[in-house]
Amino acid sequence: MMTPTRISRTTLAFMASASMGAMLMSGGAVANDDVKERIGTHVNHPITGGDYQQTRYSEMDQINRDNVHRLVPAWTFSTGVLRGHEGEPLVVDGIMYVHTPFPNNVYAIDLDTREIVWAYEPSQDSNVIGVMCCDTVYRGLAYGSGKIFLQQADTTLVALDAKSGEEQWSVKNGDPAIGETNTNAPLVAGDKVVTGISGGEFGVRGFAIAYNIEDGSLAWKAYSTGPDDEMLVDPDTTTAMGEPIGANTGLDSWEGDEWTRGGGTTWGWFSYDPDLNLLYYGTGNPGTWNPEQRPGDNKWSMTIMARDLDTGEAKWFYQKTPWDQWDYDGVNENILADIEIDGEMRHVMVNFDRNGFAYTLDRETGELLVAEKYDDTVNWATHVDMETGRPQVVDEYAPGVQGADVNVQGICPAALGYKDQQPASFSKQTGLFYVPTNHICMDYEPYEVSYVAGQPYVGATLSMFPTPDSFGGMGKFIAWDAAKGEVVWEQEEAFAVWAGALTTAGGLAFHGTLEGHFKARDVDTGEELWSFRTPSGIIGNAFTYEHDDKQYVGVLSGIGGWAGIGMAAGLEGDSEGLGAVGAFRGLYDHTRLGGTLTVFALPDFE
Amino acid sequence: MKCDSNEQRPVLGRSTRLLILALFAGLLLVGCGDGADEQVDADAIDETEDVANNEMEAVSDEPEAEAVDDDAAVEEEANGSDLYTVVCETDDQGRRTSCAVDQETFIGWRTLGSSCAVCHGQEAAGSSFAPNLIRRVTEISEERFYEVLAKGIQTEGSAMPGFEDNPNVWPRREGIYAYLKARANGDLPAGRPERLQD
Repeated sequence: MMTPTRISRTTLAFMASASMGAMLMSGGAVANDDVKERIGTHVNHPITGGDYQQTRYSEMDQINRDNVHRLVPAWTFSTGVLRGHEGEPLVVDGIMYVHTPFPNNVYAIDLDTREIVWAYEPSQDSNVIGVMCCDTVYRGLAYGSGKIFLQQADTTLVALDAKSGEEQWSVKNGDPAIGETNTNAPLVAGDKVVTGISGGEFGVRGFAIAYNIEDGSLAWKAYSTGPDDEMLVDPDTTTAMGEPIGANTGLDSWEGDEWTRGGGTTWGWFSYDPDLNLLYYGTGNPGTWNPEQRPGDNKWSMTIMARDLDTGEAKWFYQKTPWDQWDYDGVNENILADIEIDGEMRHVMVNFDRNGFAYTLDRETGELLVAEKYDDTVNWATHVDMETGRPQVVDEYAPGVQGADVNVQGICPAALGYKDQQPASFSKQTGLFYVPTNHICMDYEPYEVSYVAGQPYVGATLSMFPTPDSFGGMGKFIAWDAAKGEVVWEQEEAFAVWAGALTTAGGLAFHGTLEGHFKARDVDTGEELWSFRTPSGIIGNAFTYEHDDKQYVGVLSGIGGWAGIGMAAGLEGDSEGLGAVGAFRGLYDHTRLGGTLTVFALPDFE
Repeated sequence: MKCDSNEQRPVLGRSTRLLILALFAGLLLVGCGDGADEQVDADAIDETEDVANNEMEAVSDEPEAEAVDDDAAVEEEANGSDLYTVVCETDDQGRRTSCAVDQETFIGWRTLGSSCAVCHGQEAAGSSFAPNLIRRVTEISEERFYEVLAKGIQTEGSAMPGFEDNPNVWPRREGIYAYLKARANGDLPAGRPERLQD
């Protein structure tokens, strides 16, 4: 299908119009309904995040705050992979689709028999592991139009027949030789499958890319930096803070050609508004971690992007951290919700950024409504100026301002952010957001670094430690009011809460911990109502589904990812430390590696 | 020893340095042959304390560069290290609270933080997917260390890239090795070392 053949011009024209027709008749609408229909049932879990809005909220209430203490494991499945297990499986029409970290195996499991229906175990060049920052994690699959979409680490996007596992088509999305890899879950919306690119620590130039789900043909590709046409922006109609962005912003906000290795990678989560037909995602850190080498705002790294699903054209941008000096990678999920602000119902998106600010924006216009710290120990900026949208940076904690070769101490949060990839949940029941967070600060020392294709392009050394003068732990689980910009309650955790949240109509919020505990909390108070110790530390996301009228809750355990650096064992007699060290290592006392899916249910007996 | 081309800046302000020298019971000077943990004799300690006193005077009324020169002279005298030089300050319980290392070892530490830490973890202490390098250098020869750094390594489900073409890493390999050995030999605790102004 993809092999080039010599065809006459008239044939080509005919084919083009024929496929256009086919698309109009079946493509967009049908594929969209295919996923939509299943989201609507609340029985399936057909999309990472549970719905297009990425709310991670379920209407199911069979398991609720009155009976959750009786929750027990119903079945388990070992993935056979030791690396960090992020994301969550999908459930479509009685089949569960489980993904693994590299080598990115897929297992289709029949929920009646709990047997493997088919397995897809791709063969990938293991050299790709060496160019993956922070472990070979993978955050999940996508489903649409009878296909399962697998985004392999080596940038191959594969469409598999959901029933048989047979390969339908595959495309290559990037080149690991220049540090391009993938860890993100693709998103299916309309007749497109959208995916991103990783490699922010390798000087990759980030982009989002959409393929037509029927045949894998390219629909559009939009870079995060560079010329307007390659970014799919219109200087007159693409806006930021309500104004047209103007020409060449992706070039002029950089020195020289630094934008060509300017990062802005797109390894986070995608969300979609079917009414506006807009796709949302964030872009990552700008190239090297040494800010001196890239003066300027470095547009459009660290940016929330809203694009037309069909054309990729940019509707609006909001840059959260201009001229990043901390690696506050802006890729965290954008949760779409309708909430009341100042007595008015607003269609918003809420983003908990690595930089410690939570942003509430009008998702149609990009208007900034709220920008407040979700942890009051954030010190790199005092506040966000609501007129300009810019953070007011504190020079004392700004490595770029202090200059290269200076060790800037006590910056909060650390590079891994007060929240990293672990997605939050929006409860439609309470109207609040439930956020797994980190509570870690850092010393940051940038220095001059040279770019070599396919090699780390970092140029800074960091020490990370629990937030000083606080409760001593490295994480929290918080409830957030996105209309007011206020923490409603918070629960302290010993380690970073690196696991995605789930809320349900049963009045529950679920999340895992790095020690390996899977917890259910009361959404009103945060009180822990139940917990179960899984085989390994949890960096995966809680999810729920229904089978034979019974509600199940599940999670992948398997310590790793960036949080896996906490697995370092202390050396014997290593009680001394020069400044801030040591505290990050304690995980080794709690857990070991290994990927397992554990699925819970209420017992059949009373 | 090779020096990094980067511009050097004093890491501690004068008042801080004065404070540290006044507070801590003494300076511990550690040199290293090939892994041997040399004990510093009493004379050397006395001499070091003298230097400390001299430096305090020097800092108060003379340019810092001169005090730094004094430091360097004494270290060379006190040990004939071929891998690294570590100068530590201790508290009254003998715990090292601040250490300075030679330029090359410092650059090695910094390179580890930038190019190796994403897999091998902070302070090279390892992670869930890459080994603790401090332990590793006690298990393999220096030659093998450079070989793996140059060519990378591949095992089942694991891969390390080669760094021989990387200008950020390869020229600094000796400093990386020196830092790891200093840690492995117990001459240098975890954490950020200061740089000796040599």
